[in-house]
Amino acid sequence: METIGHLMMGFGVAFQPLSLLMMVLGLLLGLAVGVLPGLGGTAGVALLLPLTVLVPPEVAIIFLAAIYWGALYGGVITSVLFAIPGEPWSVALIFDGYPMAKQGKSGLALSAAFIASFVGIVVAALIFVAAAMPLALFALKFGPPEMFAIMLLAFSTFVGLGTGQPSKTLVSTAFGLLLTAVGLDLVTGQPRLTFGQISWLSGYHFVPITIGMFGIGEIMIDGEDRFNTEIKEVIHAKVGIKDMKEGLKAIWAFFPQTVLASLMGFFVGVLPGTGATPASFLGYGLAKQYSKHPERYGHGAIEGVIAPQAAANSAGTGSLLPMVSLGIPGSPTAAVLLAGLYMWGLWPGPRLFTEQPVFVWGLIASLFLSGTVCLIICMVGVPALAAIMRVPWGMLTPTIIIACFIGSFVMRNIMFDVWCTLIFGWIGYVMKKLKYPLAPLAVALVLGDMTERFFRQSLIMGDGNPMVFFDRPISKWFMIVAILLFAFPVFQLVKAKVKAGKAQAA
Amino acid sequence: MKVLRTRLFILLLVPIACVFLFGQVAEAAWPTRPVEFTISAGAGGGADKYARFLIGLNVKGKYISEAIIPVNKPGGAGAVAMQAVLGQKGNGYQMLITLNSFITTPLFQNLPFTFRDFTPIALLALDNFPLWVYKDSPYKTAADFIAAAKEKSIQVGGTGSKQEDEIVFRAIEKIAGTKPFKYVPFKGGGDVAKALVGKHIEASVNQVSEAGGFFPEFVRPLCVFQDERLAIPGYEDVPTGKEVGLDFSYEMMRAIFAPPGISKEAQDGLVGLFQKISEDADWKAFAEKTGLKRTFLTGDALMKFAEDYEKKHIDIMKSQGWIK
Repeated sequence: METIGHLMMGFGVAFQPLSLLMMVLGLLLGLAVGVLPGLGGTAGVALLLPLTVLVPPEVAIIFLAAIYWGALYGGVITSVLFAIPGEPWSVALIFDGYPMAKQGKSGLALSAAFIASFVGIVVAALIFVAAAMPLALFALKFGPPEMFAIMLLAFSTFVGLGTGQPSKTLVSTAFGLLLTAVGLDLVTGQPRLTFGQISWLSGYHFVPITIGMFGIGEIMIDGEDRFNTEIKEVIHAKVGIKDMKEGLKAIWAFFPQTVLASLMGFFVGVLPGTGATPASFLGYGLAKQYSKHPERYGHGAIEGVIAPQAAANSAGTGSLLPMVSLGIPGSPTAAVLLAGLYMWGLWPGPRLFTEQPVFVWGLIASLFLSGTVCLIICMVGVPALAAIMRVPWGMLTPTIIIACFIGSFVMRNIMFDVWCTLIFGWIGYVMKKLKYPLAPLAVALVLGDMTERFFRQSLIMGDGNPMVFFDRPISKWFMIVAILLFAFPVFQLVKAKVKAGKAQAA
Repeated sequence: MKVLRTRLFILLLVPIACVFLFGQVAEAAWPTRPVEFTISAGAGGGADKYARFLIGLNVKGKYISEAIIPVNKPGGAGAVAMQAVLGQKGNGYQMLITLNSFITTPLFQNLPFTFRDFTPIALLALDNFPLWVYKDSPYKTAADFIAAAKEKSIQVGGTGSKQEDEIVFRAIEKIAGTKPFKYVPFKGGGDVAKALVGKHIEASVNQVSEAGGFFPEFVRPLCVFQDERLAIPGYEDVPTGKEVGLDFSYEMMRAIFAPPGISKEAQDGLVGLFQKISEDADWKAFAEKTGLKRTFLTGDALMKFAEDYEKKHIDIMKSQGWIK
């Protein structure tokens, strides 16, 4: 009962005219930030942080959180339309969203993604209200071994990701892992594979590479197709109420999956230092794993858009939970919000809930409100967004390429990243031509760095003995599930061979 | 009509002439455009929090008319940011927030530059290194901790490898003659604090600004490695390293440096900016809450400080065999 009273008070804060105004402003800014590749939600929040000293803290946090939600929604748009990840967490949206757009279903893909975002936020906000403190305390039990087990689980769901030859999937994954190894090694403090270049010490970041591989690579393939064959414009960009209805229908059809992806996403978001990006990959991987039609994934399956997006948005919300309940950021963006708390003279930590109820509950109430308002803004915008696809190719493409390069620069403000985008654009093109799947590479790039870190931290903790993963109660079960998932395709292969052998014998 | 046109023409000429005549003067007035503040951490990292806090003070207090824009250049334990700022020779609209890595990274990574290549602006504060354990840890005092560390290799954690946090733990090892700590490197101070609260490590040397939010609910400080006790309410009983037999003081420098070869005006402008910030009421309140030791050094005094600091680090790193 007390919770409901608090929540009502929170809504009182969120419905204040100033809060509402700042929230809508934040959402619009966030959407803009989300659309621009490279300029992520973290950077957007950081950029506008100093301005928030002008409003009271409870309004400031609503404003900054709104930027984050806006970016979570907005990252979808370029992923679906142009195969360019607007945000790290929207890389997984490319796998099925872009094929959908190519089939002329961009409006449907966008609508479904936006509604999925909404479900993700609402599910997360409900859990937030129900069990903030116990969940935050539970998440603390996840140390490096547990985190490694979860990463392994994420990889295991992607075993069957590459369609075609398994060996090519393996090469692609290995290449991604190799790229993440470049830079200053955290454990020894030694530079790795930098060839004496200072700028290489920062290592490869996955955003410029994915922008290059998917964005630039896709444009080159597209250009080649157009050069070789007379292409008739197959894109039906007529969108309207119909797409939204269908989007809703799709969400309804996959409602259990959407909620499950949201729940999973929330939990991954609550874990320290992960955030929305791994959650979206896990959401995609798990949805595919448990789908009755995994073969549809990668060719424009609408579930492949819904699951990662619901997971990402739920994770984004979840990452705020340890921040407000314990003062521990769950994601880089939450870390920036935490910096804001200091600026506003609030002291993050376990006392925030009791000492600053107006602040905390105002934020929680604004989750529901922001989610709803952002959905409305996006749905109104879908027809206009899908209409971008009607812009002539010769005009659209140069604009996209410019946006790609700007995006890869603003991520870390170093020229190195721009060269990465250019070079990996070519590599992506060649890999596509040779039928090497790009998705496993993207997953390895995004998760590889974290996975290695957790693995080596765990090994230090266990004196080099890998049994450390099986000695701990939580990581043990995750490890077992992950290993079973890895073994599953092999088992299926053997079964198929045995069957084939029997058939021959008979 | 013609008269009017001539007058208009003359009117137009006046500002143009002004630009030519007083152009030099106008240029001298620093600042005429926004100042970039390069941060060697990603958004949300330790140095980033400080930089953004300082920028926030300017928004409120308007110490300089132009905006200060944070630019994150993470990576390479600060090497990437240092190289970027160093490359902007003569740019008076560029500055870098520095930590001890400003001294240690060039030494350890064998970089082709040192702090001497930069223009000194200001040392704002020295940050603390308390020794933290989780709340219900069996180590009630620093003496308990040291006694236990002599018996077994205790699992500890800190930011990065062969950087500040590991330096502190290796120093404890040496002074107290403990068994080598099992040091787990994490990506940032926030991760370390989480690991301690979650009991994945037994001790850390987070700053009060990183771990203080968990005291007293989740963590406890055993001692602090500086010459006098922390002046934060609630921390009065935390002994110094010297009091518990760990005669060692180590602090984190929170300083600002600029690219080489900037104009006198720009240098004076930047120094003036931070001089004012160092007297800001919000800054003072922040320093008091996090136990920052406010100090203000600039120019030669700052360079001298950095020299001494480098010497100290060369000794430490040599004794660990990290550098030759």
